[in-house]
Amino acid sequence: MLDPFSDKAKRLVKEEFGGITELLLIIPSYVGIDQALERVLWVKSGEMPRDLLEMGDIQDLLTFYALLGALAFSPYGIEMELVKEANSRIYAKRLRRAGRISGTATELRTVDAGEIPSRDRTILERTHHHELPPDERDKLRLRYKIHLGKFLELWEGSLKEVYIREGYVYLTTEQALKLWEKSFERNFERAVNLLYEVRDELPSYYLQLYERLGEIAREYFKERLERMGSAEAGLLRFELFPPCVKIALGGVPAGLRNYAITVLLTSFLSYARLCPSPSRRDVRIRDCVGDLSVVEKEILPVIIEAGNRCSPPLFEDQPHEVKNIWYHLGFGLTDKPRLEDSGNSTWYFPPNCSKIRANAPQLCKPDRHCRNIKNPLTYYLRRLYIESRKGKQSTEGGENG
Amino acid sequence: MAELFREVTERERKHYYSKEWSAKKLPEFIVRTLEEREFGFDHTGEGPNDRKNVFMDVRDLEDYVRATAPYAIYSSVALYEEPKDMSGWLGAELVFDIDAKDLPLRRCAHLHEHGQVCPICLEDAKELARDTLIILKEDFGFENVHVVYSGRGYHIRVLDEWALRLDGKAREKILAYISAAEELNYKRDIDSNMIMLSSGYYRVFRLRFGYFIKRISKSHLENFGLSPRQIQDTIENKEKIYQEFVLNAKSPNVSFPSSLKRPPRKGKKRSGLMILLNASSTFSKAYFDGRVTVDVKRILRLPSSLHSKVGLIATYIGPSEKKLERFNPFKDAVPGFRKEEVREAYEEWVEEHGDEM
Ligand SMILES: [Zn+2]
Repeated sequence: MLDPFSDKAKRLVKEEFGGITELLLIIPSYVGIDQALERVLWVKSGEMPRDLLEMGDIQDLLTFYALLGALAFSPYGIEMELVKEANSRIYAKRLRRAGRISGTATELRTVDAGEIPSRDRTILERTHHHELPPDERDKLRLRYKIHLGKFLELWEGSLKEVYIREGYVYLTTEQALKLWEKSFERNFERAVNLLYEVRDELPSYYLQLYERLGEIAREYFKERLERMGSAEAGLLRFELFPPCVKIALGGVPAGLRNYAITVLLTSFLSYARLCPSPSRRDVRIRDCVGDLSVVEKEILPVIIEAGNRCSPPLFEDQPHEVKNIWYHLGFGLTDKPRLEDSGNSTWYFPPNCSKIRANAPQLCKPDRHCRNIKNPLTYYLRRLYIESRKGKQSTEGGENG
Repeated sequence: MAELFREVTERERKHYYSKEWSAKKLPEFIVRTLEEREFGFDHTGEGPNDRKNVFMDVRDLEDYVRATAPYAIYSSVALYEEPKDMSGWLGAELVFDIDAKDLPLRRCAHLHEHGQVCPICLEDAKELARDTLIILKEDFGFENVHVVYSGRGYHIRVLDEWALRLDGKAREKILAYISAAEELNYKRDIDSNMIMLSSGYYRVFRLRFGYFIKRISKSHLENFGLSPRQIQDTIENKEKIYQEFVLNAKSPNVSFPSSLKRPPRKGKKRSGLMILLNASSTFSKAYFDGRVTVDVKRILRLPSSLHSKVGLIATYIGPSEKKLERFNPFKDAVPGFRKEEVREAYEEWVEEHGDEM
């Protein structure tokens, strides 16, 4: 089987289609929207159709990447969760059927005889426990090993749970699959983050696909959404902001002020609060809210306060800068905006990390959540997503608790 | 009376850095990465407040040190693209810090207060450092490992490529493994014989337990809540437990006296054995200064520099257990101007307490 993030898949994409962007451009002429949706439609019933399991490599890549392309419009939304879960299950099932894990993006190797001292094997695999049925014993076999460095990037548990020797971690099939799932998840998020960059160039096919995914996801996660509310537009969670935004909020010296406050904070706070995952670039504030009170009561005061924390305070010696804030929010150069004005200028989108690094390196102090992130807004969305999952686990995990 | 440890004078510092020290004494692993490290200096004895220094050439460092004869010299464990503003983090050594002045289970509690050191606790720190070195090499497969005498303990510094890249979370996991900080569970770990494995966490656990069992006293055992019988049996069987359980990985059922298999008294759930094993992991957490391991931006005392507070040299020992085994801080880490004084004090000390070592 083909792991869509493996080196083999990457080679295939490159050789057969000329690259990921090219692949995304030709997918609409090969894969119908309904066809792509088949990869997720089954999750509600839990019954995976056979042809999904037996699909050819190329067909598999095309339908899988069709869904990924659609997710570019909403990284870390429930659509992403749906696609990730359904496809992780498809690939995991294929791996189980194949009976061995190989050719995946996880660097697992098979264990040679004699690598593990026989007494340790006896204890770990319970070789002499004849009361155990053969398939139970089979589950205990240490079949795979992975270098500790790679392992630590993926494993969330403690090192006490695994057998470690000479720089390698030895794993049973189940543990190896768990690790593969983790790496699939990682690669999946990384891919979505990358595609987020090119979403403006994608054909409308993907937007349609994304909208259909939204319907299915809302249906599938219905109970959870009712219980939790969606992780979409909502009150700002300052503790989940990326480091650059936190630095900007704390006030910055003169040379950095305009960039940090007017460019970064204004765009970040407004999108994060009003429209965290816009499906198109030319969205306007009036497409997201019915009046300006949220902007005036929740967003502007935070910007003004951060400006006051700058040295010297931004709006004291540059009072006209407030107009500039409204301009960046899409209302044109004004200090008395009305909702109808929204669209008079462009509602600036938060700059990418690479831009921030180039224009204001002092703001870029990456923390561990910044890994694979390309835009401050996806950082925030990702952390909101992780938080919502934590909430889900603590409400649903009661029985094992 | 001659003293083993004493604060050195400014004049002595100047003498050391101009006459005895040269950049040639720096270990190669520092010199090779010099331009990527941040250097910190303590000029007054109040802490390293002159930080973010960068030296593009060892001669620059040499000139600076000669000219200022600082109270203490530190360099970052992290490597940076721009060490002068600590940005462009390229990685950080994986470090374990065993500070002899903070060790639990002191054998020398009757000799000095907590927070000071003597040859006995330094010897104990060395044993912990040796076990750590073994685990790092055999379990983790590290090859680029360096041991440094820090002045009052030991630093173990790992520079293997993949260790440099580890994030704080991964370092925390490694620290928990190295220090055998996780408690055992009877069914999963003992009953299933996992504790007898010759690799992995359980072996580390037994090594740390070995250190523990050799040093616990009657009063410790009383504090753990063991019964008088269990206490007596444990004390009398220390050597047997060490030989069989720690060294030969035999089952606790044969290595420990049978009285420990029961709870100390009626109504208690845990057996004496589990109380003892888990007390060991409680102590092992304190063998390392965990902040040093987890903090990827820390600065550490520079090998070859003078530890002015104690009057000894932070000394590069090397990569092997053998070198560590042979190392004696009172011979190998003494600055020339204190040779005579330390020799005399050490002889006096050995005469008085040598049999306790
Ligand atoms: Zn002592």
